[in-house]
Amino acid sequence: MKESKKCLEILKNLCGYIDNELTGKCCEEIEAHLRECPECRGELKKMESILSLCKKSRESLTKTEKKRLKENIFNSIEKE
Amino acid sequence: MRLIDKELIEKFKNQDKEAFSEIVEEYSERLYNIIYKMVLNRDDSLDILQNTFLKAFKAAPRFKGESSLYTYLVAIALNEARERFRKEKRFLFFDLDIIDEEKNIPDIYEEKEKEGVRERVNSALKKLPESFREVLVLKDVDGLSLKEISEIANLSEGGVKTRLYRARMLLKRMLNEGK
Ligand SMILES: [Zn+2]
Repeated sequence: MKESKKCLEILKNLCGYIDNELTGKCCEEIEAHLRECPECRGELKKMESILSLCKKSRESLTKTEKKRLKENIFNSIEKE
Repeated sequence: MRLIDKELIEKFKNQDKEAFSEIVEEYSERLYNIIYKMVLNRDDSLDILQNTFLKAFKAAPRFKGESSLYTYLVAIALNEARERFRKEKRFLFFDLDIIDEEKNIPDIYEEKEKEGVRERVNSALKKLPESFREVLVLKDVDGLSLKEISEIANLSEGGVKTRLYRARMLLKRMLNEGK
């Protein structure tokens, strides 16, 4: 029970930890807990893999779309 | 291509077309990515992207430079996206089938794997409420800082963090459901 309360606290700070916002004592505490707790380590791994999925899911314009975009924009500007 | 520097921004404010063309070149891809993740539809995204640049050009003399040019463009793009949904009274949670229409577009993505990731993430994003999706897209898809997001979304940094935390939890759940 004691452990799960700690885990909850870690979970709350995991986002900040991933985003590198935490410094000093808070960061150390999390790292110490992560070394001991496989559940929280698993949670961290999951979170990191989700963030990497987000990055990998990038949308891109085709060359044609980009060309058309520019044409449309500048045609429109010229008209005014 | 040169960086978006002060000189270029001054030219942009004077509605210099050449400068503006460089700005379009520099930011179109990144903005498109954000817009797409918000509206999850190719045609709408292209349309919104175009309007974003046109609005930015028209309003250029009023650009004060308090925020970066990029966050300024993102703010316009998000407004455009929101407005579109309001106008069409379309709810931001779609049917899951809509996204599959795009499977048939050839030659856009070389890697099958990347396509799989896109589909997985996009179907999960689709189920996220607009305000959650917004912070998540800005932070985790685009990579803006919390400070920049707080400017764009008109929230405190703490508010952004809370929303981001919930959004990530929701996305995690949605990704697991979609497996
Ligand atoms: Zn734990």
